[in-house]
Amino acid sequence: MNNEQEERLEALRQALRDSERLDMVAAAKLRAARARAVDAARRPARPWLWAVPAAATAVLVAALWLPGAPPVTGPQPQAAGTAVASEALDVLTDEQSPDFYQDLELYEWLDREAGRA
Amino acid sequence: MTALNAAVTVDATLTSKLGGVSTADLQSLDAFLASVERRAFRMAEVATRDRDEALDIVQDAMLQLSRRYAARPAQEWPALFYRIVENRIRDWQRRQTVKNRLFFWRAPARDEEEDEDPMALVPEPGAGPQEELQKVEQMRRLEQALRSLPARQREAFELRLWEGLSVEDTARAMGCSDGSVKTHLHRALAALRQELEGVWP
Repeated sequence: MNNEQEERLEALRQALRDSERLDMVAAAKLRAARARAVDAARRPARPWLWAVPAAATAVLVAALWLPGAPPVTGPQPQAAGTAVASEALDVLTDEQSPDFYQDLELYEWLDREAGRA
Repeated sequence: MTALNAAVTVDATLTSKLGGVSTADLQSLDAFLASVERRAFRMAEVATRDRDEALDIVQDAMLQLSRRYAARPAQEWPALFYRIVENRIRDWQRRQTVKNRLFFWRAPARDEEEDEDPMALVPEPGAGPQEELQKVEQMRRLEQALRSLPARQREAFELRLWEGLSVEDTARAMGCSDGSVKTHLHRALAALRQELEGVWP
């Protein structure tokens, strides 16, 4: 690079640097932004804080959408099909033996008789 | 041991344990940001032609640097800071391209002269009106020429010539090799020379 080119570049650089003069409003906004940035460095970022509301939202969404979740807007009449399915699920997950369910009517009768006595 | 020394020791111990930033580092960070904020703002303003956008870009860059790199050695800050600034400018340009494509019927052709900052027209004390007008016109053409450069060439010119970073730091800021910086800069200077012929002596 010859002297003439260097002088030209120096003139460009000087002109650009001269253009960095700012009005008071812009200068004040930059100062405020810098103060916020330095303050942010003082308090380390805690990305895990986002996990709390995220987890709460996930639980809420799951509660609203998972099958068998309690209705949100008060008690609703349960459909007959749903009631049967719920009973079947009880029987399958119960620890009672199948014989117990076969004799269930007998146990219910004994229970009623005991109540009368 | 004086109270101040004790405080500094405790502060240093705490910050090293917490991985945070000491008070001295915060003061250095403040001084560094003060030294670059106006230049970065002007670079963003030249690229975007919008003072609010430029302010957003610089604000965001300062915040990012403080949050993510304040604990890094101060010598690394210039390259890191300008890397963030240039990335933000490129993000803005991409968004503008998409926006202009989506809303092409709403995008008016921007007149370079209409977008001039009125403050730039205020004459400097001591300069004659003719000389001042010439300077304003020169700056307008220079900004226009910078905007017309491909992004990498503009970045190389701004970081190496305007900011005065070393070739190594410019390469770090641009995320490329030293050789690429020299190539981009050479092309940028050739393009600017052609573009500014007759305007700059």
